[in-house]
Order: sequence, then structure tokens, then C-alpha cells
Amino acid sequence: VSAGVAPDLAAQPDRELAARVLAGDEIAFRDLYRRHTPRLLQVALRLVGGDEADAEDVVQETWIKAVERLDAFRWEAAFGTWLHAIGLNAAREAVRRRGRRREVAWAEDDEPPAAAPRERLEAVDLERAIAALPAGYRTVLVLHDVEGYTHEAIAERLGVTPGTTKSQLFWARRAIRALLEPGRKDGIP
Amino acid sequence: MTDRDELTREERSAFEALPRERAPDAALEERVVAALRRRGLLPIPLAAGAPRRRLLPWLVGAVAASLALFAGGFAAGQYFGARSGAAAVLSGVQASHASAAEIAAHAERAGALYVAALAALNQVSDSGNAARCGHRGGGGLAPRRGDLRPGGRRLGGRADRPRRPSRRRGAARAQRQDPGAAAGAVHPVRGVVLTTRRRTVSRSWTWIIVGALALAPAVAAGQNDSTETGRRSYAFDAPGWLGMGVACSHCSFQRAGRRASGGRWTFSAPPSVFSVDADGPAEQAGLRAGDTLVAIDGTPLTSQAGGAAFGAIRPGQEVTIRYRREGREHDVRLRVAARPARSETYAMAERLRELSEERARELVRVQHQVQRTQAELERQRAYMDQVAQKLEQAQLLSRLSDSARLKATQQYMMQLDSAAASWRRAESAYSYLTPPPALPATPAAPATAAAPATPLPPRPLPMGPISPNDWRHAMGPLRYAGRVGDVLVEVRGPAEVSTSNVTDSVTVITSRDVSVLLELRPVRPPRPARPARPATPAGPATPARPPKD
Repeated sequence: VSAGVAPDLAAQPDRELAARVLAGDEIAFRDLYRRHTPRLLQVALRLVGGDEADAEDVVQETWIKAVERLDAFRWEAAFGTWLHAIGLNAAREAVRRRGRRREVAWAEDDEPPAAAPRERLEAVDLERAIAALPAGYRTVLVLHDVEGYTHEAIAERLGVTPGTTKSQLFWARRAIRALLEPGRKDGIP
Repeated sequence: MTDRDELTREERSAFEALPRERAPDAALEERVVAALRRRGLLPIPLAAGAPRRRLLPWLVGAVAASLALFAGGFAAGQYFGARSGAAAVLSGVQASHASAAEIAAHAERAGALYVAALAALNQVSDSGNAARCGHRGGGGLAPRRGDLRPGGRRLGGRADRPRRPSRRRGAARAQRQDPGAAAGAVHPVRGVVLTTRRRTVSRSWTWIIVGALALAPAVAAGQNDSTETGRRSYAFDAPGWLGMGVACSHCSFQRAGRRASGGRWTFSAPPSVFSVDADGPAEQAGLRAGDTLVAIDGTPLTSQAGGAAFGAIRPGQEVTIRYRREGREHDVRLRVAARPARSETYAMAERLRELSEERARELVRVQHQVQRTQAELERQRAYMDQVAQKLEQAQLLSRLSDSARLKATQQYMMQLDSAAASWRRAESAYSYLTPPPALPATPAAPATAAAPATPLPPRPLPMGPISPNDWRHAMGPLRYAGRVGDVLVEVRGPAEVSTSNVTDSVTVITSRDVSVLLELRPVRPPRPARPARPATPAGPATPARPPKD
């Protein structure tokens, strides 16, 4: 962010920028975009399973929907949270669309093998393991363990009960431990 | 849930260590902004979109304007070109006080003679003798007609018509050679094509006629005509006339002016008398062909002053000419006469010559354009005809009953069969490519029996009975195979042959040396034997019948 160009712009709260975006201010939009997109892109990338192109599509779709609904946003939550909620839906939509052809979900009763927790986890391995998870597990894991959402919040977002998310998280953790097992490392796609 | 549900500290720290942000590609931002603009969620900035939208009409307008300008200029050029062409024609007409038809007639006549001259040239120049013509006449000397028969009176239409000397020509080399050489003075044709109404002249001659038209002044100058229809007063000076033609080597003639007939001669060697006109001053003074002219009024002709004096003679003037004959020099006094009354043709030729070359070209171009337009129209008409015919045929077929349609189809098939048969015939005519079959030795044709031994006997073939196969073999490639009526025609020979079916019953076959016209006529029954003839014993019984052999 160039401080010399618009130091006050960077300091402006999201709401002011949003108001100007609604008035058709492109510069305000770009500012808002630059403020929130890096995080949005990272989350989207994890949610879609590491596909950059899909993640970018999700980001674009998210921003379009966000600007479309901007005037309906009541500012009771933070702009970033709201944006990420939209992003989550967009990502799930993208995964759903893609998943028909690429992924086969694990059956619920097909228990993945339990593995001992590892002493040290490399970030790259973890990212690859997350990406290798089935879409449903991945969503819950990312939202809970990476982004730090509560089960209630996740359940609300996904339209399920907290029990479901807890169960999914359990299976997700087991799965990721199995994926991170040294012997299975090569099996990770 | 067991404690294994919870993350270990390692795991938790690993999750927390994961990057939270990822720098997006700059292209993504533009993509998002563009997507928002497309959806109308962000305004389209003037700086990016407007110029493109406004530039386009300007661009279109500019292109349209330049196109219109070009078209206008082209049209104007065509218009003025046509006008100047017409003006050239008109001025030519007005200048000679003759109708355009007269000019055309004369030019055409000149063209015909020109063609004849070229035909003669063609014959003569076969020996490779393409000599140039000397400049005779002009200046103070009247251009002679039929020079090559000294003493003869106006032998028009000869192949060796001399050309009037061109102002533009520089030094000319004169050689007295065979009659064909004179025609070598023909200007190279400038590659223009004019329409001609002379249908009898084949296409290859057309351009030569055109050349003749373009050069009509030069050609007609030497043309004889027997219809001298009185004098006309010409704008240029009346030239002096000595009544002889001279031949010179390395000499030139420069006209004094555009309208002047006199000028300045430059001789590098004394000229000689080439021919003498009957009843001309030269003949009256006793000059003869072969005399060498040395001086005029004491001034050597090879000098500058002498050449000028020779070119500037005027009617009524008296000049003394020194000539050399058989090694001795003589002086003779001549009274320069006025040039005899010119024919209409000559007058017109003079006038036409007054047209500048540019105007002549203009004229040719206009006529060329007309011709092209006519050709295009003709093509279009032919195409329309074709379409109409097809349409008619289709309509006819659709109207026919099934049986009639079958019949028509059968007819068509028969036509195809016939065409295929004639094609096969033509193909088999190529049998000369393979050795001809051994002919049965017949005592009737001893000459042909020997023919297969020699692959290509020299032409002409020995007279006598000869079988078609033999002939085919001997005469070389097939050039044409067709029919005139029911008569099959085959043309063979080493030279290129062109054929044209004039009508169904007339075919013209033209080769380099020969042109053959085949015409099919209904055979008339021979006349009955005359009664005066001594009657045969069976005569009285059948007097009206043709005699049988």
C-alpha cells in the first residue's frame, strides 16, 4: 500500500469506503478490495483445495456478490466477516460444481485409520493435507482449526447443527492425521 | 469425544502458523473491477471507454470521406478523360474539315494496305532480313509513292510504302535493299488494341491494324489514291518539290517547325537519287536514279548550309544541283515545283499527323475502353442467356410427363454417347505415338509400304495413294479433330494450328503457312448429259440420270 498516494484512505473505515463504492467510486472499491482480498484469497484457496484458478474465481464471485448486496448490509458485523461468509458460500458452490467430476467423498462410516500425532508439522505438508481432504471435512477443519470459528458459527453458516460440525471436525482431524502419517506422505495427491 | 479429538499443541501451532493472507495477482483486481463494470456495479470511466466510442465514428467518417474523394476523383478522371478523348477526335475532325466517317474509312483503307505490307514483309523477312528503311522524300522533296519502280506512276498499296520521316527520329540509316526492307520501317506497335470492323481479318492481325490506325498519318502519306478531288488549302507552307526520292546513309531531317514542311537536312555522305518521278522537275532536268547529289547552288550537301538549303527549297525557286554520274560531275538547273495536288487521303493524313501523340493515345484509350465495355456487356448478355436457357430447360423438364422426361433423358444420354464416341475417335487418332501396325503389303501402294521404316518422312508426302493411318503417322501431332457436317476433319502437323468453326458447315483451319477453309455444301445432282454429246448405247433410256461410272 502506497502511503504517499492516499494515507488517509488507508485509514478510512470500511463503512466510509463502502458508501463511496455505492456512489460509484472505483478508487474506493480498489481500496476496499486491496484491504480484504489477501485474506479472502487465502481462505478461498484452502476451501477449494489449493486450486489457484478456482480460488480466484471464488474471489471474483465474492466481490461481485458483496458489491451487489452492499446496500443491504446493515453493518452489524464486521465487513470482513460478512465478506468471508459470502466467500464461504462461493467457495462451497465452486467445490460443489467441481466436485461432481473430481472428488469422491469419503463415506461417513468408512473410518480412516487413526495415526499418532506428529511431533512437528511442516506448513507445506499441512496445506497439502488440507487440500487432500474431502470437501466437507476440509470446510469445517479450515473454519474451525485455521480460521478459529466456533462450532455454532460454522453450523449457522453451513446451515447444519453444531453436532454435525463437531462430528465432521472429528473425522476431518482423523483424516488429516492419516494423511500426514509419514508412510502415507507419498499418497497425498 | 476422546482427547484425541482435540488438537495437540504441535498441531495447533502448526495450524496457527499457516499463512493467513495471500497476495492476489494484480490481474485479479482488474478482472474483478472489469466484472463489476460489466454488471453496472461500477461506473465505466470516461478515460477508458469514451475515446474508443467516439473515435469509431470519426474513423468511419474519415474512411468514408476518403473513399468518396477517391471515387469522385476517379469519376472526374474518367469524365475528363473521355471528354479529352472526344475533344481529340473532334479536333481531328474539324482540323481536316472532313467527317469522322471519312477519316475512319481512310484509316481503315490505310490499315488494310498496312496489313498487306506486313504480310509481304512477313514473307520477305523470313530470311531474317529486317533492314530498315531509308528516309526518302520529305523536306524539299516530295514523298514518292511506288519509289521502287523508278519511273512508274504511283504504285499505291505496295508492300514497300515509304513512311514519312518522323520529326522525332534522329539519324536514320538508309539502305537500298530488297522491296521487303522498306516495310521494315514500320513503327513498333505500341501495344494498344482497337476495335475493328474488319471481320475478315483474323485476330492476330487486329493489333497490326490498330497500329496502322494509330500511325495512319504516316502510312497514308505514302498511299496512292486515284480519287484526287481537288485541292485544299493547308495551313502549312506549300513545300517545294523536285520530284525525286533520295537515299542517304547516316542522314537526318529536322523539320523547321510544327506546321512547316521544310526543314534542315544533315548528310554525312552525299545522297543518291533513288527514284525519279515522272514529269517531275528532276526528270525534266535529266536526273536519273543512281546519280549522286553533290551540291546545291555550289554548296556541298554534306555541309550544314547545303543541308539547310536543300531542305528549304520553295516552289518557283531555281536551284542548281551538282550531281555525279559515272565518275563525272554535272550541274543541272532545276525549277522547284509545287507539290502536286494531294489526295484527300494525304490531306487527312497530314492533318492527323498534326494531332499530337498524346491525343492519338487518348483516342486509342477511349476506344479501348469502349471495346472493353462492349466485351463486358457481351459477357453479361451471354451469361443471362445461359441462365435463361437453363431455366427454360428446367421448366420444360418439370412440365413433361414421366415418359417424356425419360425420353428426354435418353436423348441426352445419346448425345453424351455420341460426344464420347467422337472423343474416343480423337484419342485413337493419337496412334502415331505408338508404332503403326504393319500394313499388309499391297501392290497398289508401294510408296506407303516403305513409310513405316522412316519415322517422319519430309513434307510434302509423296503423292499417290496413302492410307489414313500412314498419313497420321507421318504428319505428326494431332492439332484438331472435329467435323464439318458429317465429314470428319483431322489436322496434323508440326506447327501450331488454330481452327475456328465459323458456322456448322464452315470451318477454318489456319497454320503458319496455310489457311484452309472447309465448307460443306449440299451436293447438287450432276447435270444431265447434254444431248449434243454422242449418246452412249444406253443413253436414250436414261437421259436425265447422271452418268454412271
